[in-house]
Amino acid sequence: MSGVPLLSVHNLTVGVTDPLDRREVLVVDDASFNLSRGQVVALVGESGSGKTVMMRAILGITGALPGVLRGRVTAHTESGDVELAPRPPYRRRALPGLRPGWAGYVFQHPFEALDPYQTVGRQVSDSVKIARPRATPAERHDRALYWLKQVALSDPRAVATLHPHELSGGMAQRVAIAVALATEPRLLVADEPTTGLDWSVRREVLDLLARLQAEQGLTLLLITHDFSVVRHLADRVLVLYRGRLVEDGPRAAFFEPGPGEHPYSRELQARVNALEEGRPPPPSLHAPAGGERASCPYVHRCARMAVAHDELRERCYSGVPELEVFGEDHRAACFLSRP
Amino acid sequence: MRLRSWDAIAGAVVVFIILGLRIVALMLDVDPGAPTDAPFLGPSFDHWLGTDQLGRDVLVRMVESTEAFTMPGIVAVLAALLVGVPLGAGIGFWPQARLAGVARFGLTIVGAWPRLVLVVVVVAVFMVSVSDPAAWADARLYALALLVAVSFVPQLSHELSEKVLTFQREEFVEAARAHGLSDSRILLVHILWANCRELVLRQCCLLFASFLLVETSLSYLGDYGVPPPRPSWGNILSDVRSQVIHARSLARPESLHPVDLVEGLGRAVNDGAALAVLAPTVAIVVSIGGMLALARHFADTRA
Amino acid sequence: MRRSLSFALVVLASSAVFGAILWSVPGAAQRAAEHGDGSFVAWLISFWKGVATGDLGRSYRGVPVHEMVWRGALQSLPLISAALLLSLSSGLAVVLVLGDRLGAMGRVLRALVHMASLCPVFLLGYLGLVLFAVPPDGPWQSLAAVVILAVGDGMLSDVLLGLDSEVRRLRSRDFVQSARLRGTPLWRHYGPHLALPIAQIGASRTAWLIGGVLVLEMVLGIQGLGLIGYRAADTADLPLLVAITVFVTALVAGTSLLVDVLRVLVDPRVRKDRRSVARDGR
Repeated sequence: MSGVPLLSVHNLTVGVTDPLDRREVLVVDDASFNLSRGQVVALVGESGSGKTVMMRAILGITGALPGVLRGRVTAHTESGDVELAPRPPYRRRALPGLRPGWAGYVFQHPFEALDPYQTVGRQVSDSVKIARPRATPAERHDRALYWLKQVALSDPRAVATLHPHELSGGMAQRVAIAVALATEPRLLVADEPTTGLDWSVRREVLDLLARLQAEQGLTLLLITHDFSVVRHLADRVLVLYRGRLVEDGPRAAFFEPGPGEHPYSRELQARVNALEEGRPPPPSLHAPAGGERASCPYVHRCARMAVAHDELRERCYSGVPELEVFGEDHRAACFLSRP
Repeated sequence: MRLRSWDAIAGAVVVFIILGLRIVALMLDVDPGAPTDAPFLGPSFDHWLGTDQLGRDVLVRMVESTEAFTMPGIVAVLAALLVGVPLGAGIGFWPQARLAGVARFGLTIVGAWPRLVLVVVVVAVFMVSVSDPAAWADARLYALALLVAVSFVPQLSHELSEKVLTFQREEFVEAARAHGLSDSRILLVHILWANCRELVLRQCCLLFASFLLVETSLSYLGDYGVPPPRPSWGNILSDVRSQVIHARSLARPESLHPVDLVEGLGRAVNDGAALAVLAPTVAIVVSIGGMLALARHFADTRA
Repeated sequence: MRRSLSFALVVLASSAVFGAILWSVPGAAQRAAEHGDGSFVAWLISFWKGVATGDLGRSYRGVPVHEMVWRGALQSLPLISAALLLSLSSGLAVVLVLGDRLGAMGRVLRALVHMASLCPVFLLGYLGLVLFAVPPDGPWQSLAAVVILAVGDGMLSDVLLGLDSEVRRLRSRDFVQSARLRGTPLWRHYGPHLALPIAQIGASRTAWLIGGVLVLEMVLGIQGLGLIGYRAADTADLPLLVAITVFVTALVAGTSLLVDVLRVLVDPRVRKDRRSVARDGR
């Protein structure tokens, strides 16, 4: 279901160039996808697959992480299209050309995302000021308390006076979410937003996000390991394996085995199912590190390979598969997928 | 170690030049103190850099000056290593030990003293009891070296101990212990030699640069460095000073117009006094710069 | 606070060590005896009594010690603090404002700054006298002295390097990136987080700076602590010498103390008790 486009990513490559031998170390390799307004997209993949690096590179907040080497990122706003990448090396504002706070990011480590020297209330108020620049300090404070209440923190008034080191992990996580939401962004990228929260709080936070999406057309991109999040919230699923986008399709297509599915998605689900049902997860062959760009990166772990004919396996060893379209709005990158 | 680094090249060049000059000085038979009758000559075939106020050849004096800091500098480095490395490694490896606490305290105290103050005070006081300062010049230089080394030890030990401390928690330490590398000293060899080599080398370069700075400064000031007539870059500068200030304007341009500046510089280069100022200045800047570049090279290999 | 105790300890120990060194010089003990001091310990005690009462005795040349120290400090301290300020602020300006802009020109500029910085202070002073005819006194001399102190002996280089790494580290932190994305004011994060590292860099450079002051005063003829101390060392003028060295040591240790005080003021983690609100907000 493609609606009004919000963000287009074309051939994004993220990495670092080793200054001495000029070699590139790629963390994200040639990724292309689109986000539509009001969509909830889940970005899944194992640790180290490049999910965080990719999203931070898109939003221009890489910090010490690898940056954009090549590719185009375009944001589609009411007032026109804005090119977000390629962009000059270091700017004060992460997304010049867009209104401040247009995009929000919930960082993976809440205690790092919050300034240890400032109170919770102050940090949320700063965000509020971005969304409502003409509000009075009293109004901003009230709005800040409103957001703290929204993220299921009881006694927001008390929490607002605390410094981050006085919060528990779960509270800090929720404060970080509030800080990101208070700028009333169009796009919110949440990096593992439910880690560290117990199930009831997780429920409340997810409900909040779902509500915001329904009421205000907030576009959500959730980087997550948690398949229950994917199941309950996501409209679409993006699967990243070692920096390459291997599947991009509707949630239903991701969960049901079908022709357009990528074997890695299968593997991920098998693991989760095994964990949930208490079975031992299927053994994985560890893929050796190092960029062999001559063959499909998933070649060493691929379950499909094991049962394929020799000629087909040749293909997997001799080239890198691109995303092909299977069915409506569903793409996967595998030589062995047949429509 | 990457040889492509500019810093390494610069540093290596400077080191070779200094050592080369030292060797040349040792082989040379010319007396740097021999006055001729021609003060403040410009450069000529006889005197490549001209002569100073007593008619002595400036180039020879410049080369002979390397004696003042080369050997003492090496001694300083060795002394600092001898004391600082065991201290730093020990504190880093056994941070809980009583001795470590005591050592750290002692190092804090020594580290609080400004280097030059320490040096001047100690050397000065010992000089008072000596009747003929000039005769003690060699001993003084080496005392200087030792004092600079002492003042450097806190810095060296601190950095080394911090580094060793980070390795303490590494897995390979546990693994090595489990393997039965019982003697912690062997571990030290692994940690120190394999990983801390560059840090130590860097500190050595900084120390040498520091010593050069101290020696030239004190030689310039007069009593505590190299006494005239023995040459040192510092005292060459101070010898020429009064002449230059009162009688000549070195390259002082009448205007800041580039042509005038170049002209002024041209005038200066042909003037013996000017050379006596330019040469040591350039020598000092290049030498210290080279050592610092080398130090920077050893620092850069951290990812 | 524990820090002030260690500060006092450092100063005390320094005075003892320095005193012992000076005492051990042959002939010094005799001179001390001539002037009325007995054994080393007795002298040490009387010295500290003197500090407490403000009367540090008389130098061997007759002038009261505290007067000389005061006169010298009046000259030297403003120079030192001005040089520290100049060094830190210009370093900050270069790192924050210029940063990675200016491209090739910026790199050349930085290289020049580093080259000037590695010159020994005496050399810069010398060149100042010779090339620029720095006058023997007056405001221009003080200005030149402050600039030379702020730059020479590697001072500015170290400050630049230290600040550069601190700013880089700060920039890579998530909450700074968050502010960049949201558009919230950055300086509110930079300010408090840089204050402490800046103070730390300043404190660690103070000892170095004092060495520079010593030399520069000799070169330019400024009647500060350095010059007076040098002359005292020359004549083995024990009371004056010890007073000056202890004063200087106290100064350096004092700056570390100030940094620790600053840390308590700035960092709420040290200020507040770690009472994390354990009940998970239900």
